[in-house]
Amino acid sequence: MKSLSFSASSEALLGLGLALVLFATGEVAAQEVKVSASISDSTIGTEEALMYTITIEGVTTGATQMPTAPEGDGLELLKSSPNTQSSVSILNGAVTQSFSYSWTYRPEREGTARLGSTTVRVGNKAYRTNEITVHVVPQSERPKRRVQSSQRRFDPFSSLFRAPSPETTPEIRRVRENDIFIRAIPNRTKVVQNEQVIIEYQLFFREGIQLRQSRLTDSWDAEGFWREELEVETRPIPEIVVENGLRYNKIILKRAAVFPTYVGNLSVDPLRIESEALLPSLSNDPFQLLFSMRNRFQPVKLVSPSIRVESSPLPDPAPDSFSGAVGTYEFSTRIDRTSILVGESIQFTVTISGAGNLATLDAPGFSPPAAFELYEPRVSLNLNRNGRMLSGTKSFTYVLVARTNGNFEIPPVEFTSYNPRSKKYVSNRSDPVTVTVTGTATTPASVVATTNGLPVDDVAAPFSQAGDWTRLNPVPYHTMAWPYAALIFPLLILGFVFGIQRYQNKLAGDITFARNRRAHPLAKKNLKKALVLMKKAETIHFFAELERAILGFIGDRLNVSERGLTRNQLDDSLRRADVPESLRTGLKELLNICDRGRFAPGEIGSGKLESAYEDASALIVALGASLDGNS
Amino acid sequence: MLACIFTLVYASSARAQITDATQVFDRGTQALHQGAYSEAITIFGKADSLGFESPGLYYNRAVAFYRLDQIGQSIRYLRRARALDGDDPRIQHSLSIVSARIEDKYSELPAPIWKRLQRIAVESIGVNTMIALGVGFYLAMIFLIIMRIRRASEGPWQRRLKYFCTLNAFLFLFGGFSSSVWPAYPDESVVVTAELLVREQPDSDASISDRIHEGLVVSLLTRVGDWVLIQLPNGAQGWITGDGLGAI
Repeated sequence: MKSLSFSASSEALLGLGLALVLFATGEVAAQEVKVSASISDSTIGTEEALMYTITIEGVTTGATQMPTAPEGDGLELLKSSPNTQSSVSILNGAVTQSFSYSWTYRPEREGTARLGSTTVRVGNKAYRTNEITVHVVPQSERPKRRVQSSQRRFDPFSSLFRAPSPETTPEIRRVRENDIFIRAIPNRTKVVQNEQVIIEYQLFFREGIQLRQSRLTDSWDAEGFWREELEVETRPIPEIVVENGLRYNKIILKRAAVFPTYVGNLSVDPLRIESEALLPSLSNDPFQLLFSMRNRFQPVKLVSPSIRVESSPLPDPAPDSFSGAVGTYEFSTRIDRTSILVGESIQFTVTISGAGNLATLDAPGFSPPAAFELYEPRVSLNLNRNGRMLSGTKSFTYVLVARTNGNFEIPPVEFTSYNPRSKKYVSNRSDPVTVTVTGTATTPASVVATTNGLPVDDVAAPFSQAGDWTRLNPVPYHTMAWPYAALIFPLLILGFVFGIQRYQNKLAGDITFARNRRAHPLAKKNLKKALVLMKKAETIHFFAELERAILGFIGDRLNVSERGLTRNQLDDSLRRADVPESLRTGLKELLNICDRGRFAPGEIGSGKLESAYEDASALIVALGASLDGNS
Repeated sequence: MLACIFTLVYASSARAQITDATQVFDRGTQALHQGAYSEAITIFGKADSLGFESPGLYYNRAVAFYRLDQIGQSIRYLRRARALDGDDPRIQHSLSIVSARIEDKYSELPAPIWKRLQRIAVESIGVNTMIALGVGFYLAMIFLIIMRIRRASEGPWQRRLKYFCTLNAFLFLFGGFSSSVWPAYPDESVVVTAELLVREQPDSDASISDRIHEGLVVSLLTRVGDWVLIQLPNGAQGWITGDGLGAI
């Protein structure tokens, strides 16, 4: 079995021509039975013959029965017995045998001709071939064949020693569209944003065609997509396939996973390849075939169709933990240990694996307790590009350094992705993990302190003293009584002091006021003395004191010198002060009694002392009231 | 006499409660140092029932909440601690550290000049001290006036001292009483849940005007049933349900 060196990369495409030369006639290895019907060309001239071949692969000798040629519509079977051919291939230790049966047809007319289906029996199983359509055109539209006269003997060396003539030179057949082409096959064209689309570029070329110096002519671009290349077979074996009745070699040139990053109609650029193709010669001259090979290579430009992808937005509402992951994912978390000392670290790893755009996948939200110092996660991405989908694993490893001791719960991590197959958001949530940190809760060395001793990136240490205790929810001052009392009481004191001072000032500056204010107390004092004398039965002194009390009172109240007044002057003063006549008369009588008591005490009985005392007391009160009322 | 007895009984009772509160503080702080943060929070909460508060109690409670990653509760108690002792650099520092973790970044609506002056006075002096100073200057003023009345004449220094006391008594009493009637910081609360939806009307079907997150301090303006009208730091107003707020 011959080998083929082929790569999907642009560099490898340069060797495509050489590799395909080696494999232009290669057989296909297949493990299962495969039956195909093909024709030599889909368009023939009216004077050309058509070869119809049935190929049976993956069978052993004797397992197959010879098939019958299909009926032709517009085609005439020249010979009912087929040409048979068998081949054996060994690939990776597996032996595969194939048989082919060929019939020749001649066109009966111009236009569209058909070859019907036929049945092929392999063992106990029957396989039915497809109907094939052939276009019959006038011979003038077909490339010229070398004119080979039946009368002229075939000279194999003629082409070496004779200049070629138009009659003897066959027209070089041009490469047609269906001889070599690239097919771009997306696995889907309607997706949601960021959903994976696999695009496969397949190169089809007819059996017998050789390619060389193949290369990418332009950079393949897919604007609006995130692109990831997938591995294809570096040493591909062309697969023989039948397309529209023609046998082709098929090679996968490129396979890529693209992820639309926008919403809308997006397009992927065509894949463009330039190459040189050598088609099978129409000449039978072996020397001409040998020496004109270089001239018969034709430049070909191959362009795949562009691909349009319709990207639709993700459905709303998306869960809060959704960060744009689209695909089929599995989610797990792992912690390396759950018991550490203060200052030691733990590693908390979040792993996401599956098929999707892992490269752009963000780390799920993770908020460990503040007792841990959290560092930026270490991201590890491992993509599997060998399959038919892009898959892989992405892990985020967080390093947490314990700052203080205690039992802490690492909170659950939630990862949400959108599964385009089920058209649902899928949320995965890890279990919380309890981490026990032991040791002394000292300030870690990594924490830098400011000049006042406070840590730069952490709260200050707890207080060791509670500070001043105050009532919880204190009553506002403006609703309490004591502040108002504290303000009003000094004001009252101030007013009192002011009043006292004013009173004292008046006593000191106004003699009338002072005597007036002093009248009553002095009178009472004198009466008190008189009472003492009455009890001692000292009649003379009693009446003298009684008279002093009455006259002193009147003198103080009227602000006159009572001692120098006659009784008439005294009466006049009282009359001017509007003292009633009755009081003045009473006063005269009392003063007469006092005179008699002082100068003729023998005439006064003991009962007279008491009545005089009472009269004097009543008179002072009545005079005070009269003078107060008048003033 | 009765007043003296009442005062003595009241004072001894308060002293006993303060002793109990101090013991609660010490036990909670011990749990905090041991890393038993949830237990520390529970212990500190017992001081509430005793009816006393202190800056240290609130600060350590805030640290415990911070270690449990409850930013909203941590800010709540740090603000309470600052209200009791605004000069302590540890409280100021920790408040800035915790506030840096608030998700919402609003521009602050500047307060009126008189409000700012009031806050400076309250934070640097305190309402209690203001009123005490005001009463002191007031008594001194009264004393000087009495002296003036009794002596009938006063020297120049006596006169100046009287004016000085009068002016300060007015300022401190006015500041203290006005801060009592109109507090320097309005009725504020902090968001203690991960997220709250701010709506334009007090209705769960009303359109959402904003989303606020844990740790943001908002002013409470009005309550209508379960709904609270709040004002954000930038002056915007909206309605939220009061479940996710913690009073400062």
